[in-house]
Amino acid sequence: MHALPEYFEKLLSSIEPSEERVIAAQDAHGLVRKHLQACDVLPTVAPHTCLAGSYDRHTAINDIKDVDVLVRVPDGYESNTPAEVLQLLKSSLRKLDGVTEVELREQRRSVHMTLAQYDFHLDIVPVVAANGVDCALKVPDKPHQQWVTSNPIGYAAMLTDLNQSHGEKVVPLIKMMKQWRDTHMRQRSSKPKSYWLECMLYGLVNDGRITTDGKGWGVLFRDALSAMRDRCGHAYEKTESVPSIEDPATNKIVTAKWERAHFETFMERLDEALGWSDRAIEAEEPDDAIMLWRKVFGDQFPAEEQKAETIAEAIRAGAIAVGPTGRVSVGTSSSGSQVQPPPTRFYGDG
Amino acid sequence: MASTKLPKFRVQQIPPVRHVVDMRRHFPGFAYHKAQGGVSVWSGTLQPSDGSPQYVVEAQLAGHGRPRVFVRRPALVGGVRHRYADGSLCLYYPDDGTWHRGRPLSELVALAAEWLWFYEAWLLTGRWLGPEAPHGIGKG
Repeated sequence: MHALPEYFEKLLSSIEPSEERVIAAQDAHGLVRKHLQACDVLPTVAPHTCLAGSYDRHTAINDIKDVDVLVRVPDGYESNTPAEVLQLLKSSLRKLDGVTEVELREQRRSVHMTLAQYDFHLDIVPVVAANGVDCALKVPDKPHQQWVTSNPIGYAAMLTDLNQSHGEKVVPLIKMMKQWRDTHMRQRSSKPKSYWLECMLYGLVNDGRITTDGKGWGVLFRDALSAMRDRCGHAYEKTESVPSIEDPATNKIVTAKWERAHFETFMERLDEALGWSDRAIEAEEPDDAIMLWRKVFGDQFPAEEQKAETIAEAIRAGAIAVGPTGRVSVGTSSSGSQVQPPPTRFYGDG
Repeated sequence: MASTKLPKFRVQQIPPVRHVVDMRRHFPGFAYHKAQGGVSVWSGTLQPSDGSPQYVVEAQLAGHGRPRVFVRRPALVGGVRHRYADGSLCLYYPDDGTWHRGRPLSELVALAAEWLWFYEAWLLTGRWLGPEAPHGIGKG
């Protein structure tokens, strides 16, 4: 078995959102926050706005294109209809200082804002937060003409706790799963939403159906695929159904709108990835394992030459350990039998 | 990492028996024997990555001289950098004080594993990717 830890570390590093996009997200949020605080079309109360969604939970990958922003409106505002509040929010966002191209579109629960000059999309959600924004919130649901419960900040806190209690492995696992999905299900309309995958993985880890102790990234990912297969298998065997995945913070089903055809595609891709992952883990030659993991994750899983550069960087940063067989691995020593070589400079022409 | 020349000072040498204990803990596959001339020798194998061969390595400590680490098998490719004239590996710039007789031998062997890792990367890429002391600042 070849665990290839450096390869997975490189994969995780390469799918991190770029610093440029993170700054753009912060700028876009800052702009909206400042505007809404000053604008009197729709009253807001402290903290006025806050970030939510995958960007806030650090589960975003690659190019961040969308950011969810919660706008806190005064308590009691839910006596207005969702349509009225969304209309007011849309009106209040029409003129943003210094922004030339703003496109606004009302959605079920939010106003979608496209900021062309930032190449950014924001979903701006009005919320009533009677107990604070980190507790259960009321958000408008226009089609049902009512305010419904949501708890995005509470979920983010739960995910942080789960991640910490599992050795910081849950968030990277979610990112790897999203990378696999984006590699094999390219059509935005047909791929499962990130939040569905997150909720499914959260539930499986929290229930102990995915264990993290002592597992390398490859085995953990394979086990997660396998647990997802088991979780969805029952629904897959029926001809008309999709799995009912719960939001861990509200216990509501989040996958009600998953179309059966899209779910079937997901299961086919999942079975394919499970097969490749099994073979990668059992491969006798590291090159075979690398080739199979590249099938799972695409070109962002490093090839052999990239690996050399990756480990060299880690070694130069003094972040390696040498095991009892002489194996050089990335990361500081976690076991008493490993040795961290002192920082050195090789010398001599030979 | 030290980049300027450090003052020389006497260090408390670790007796061979403590090296034996240290090596048994960190590199249990290495065997110790006393060779002619009172040279302490540890030999064993190092495999720096999954796809590497098992390099047979020998570390020698003799008197007050510098330690010598040799790769006995497989033969290293000619033209590789960072070796002394006798074929032993040049694991650090001597004046940096990276390793001395007051430090555990396992650190020296770990440096040898690191050297082998960079050797394999050199075979793959044609470039020595490891940290180097600039040439011309002393004799390696």
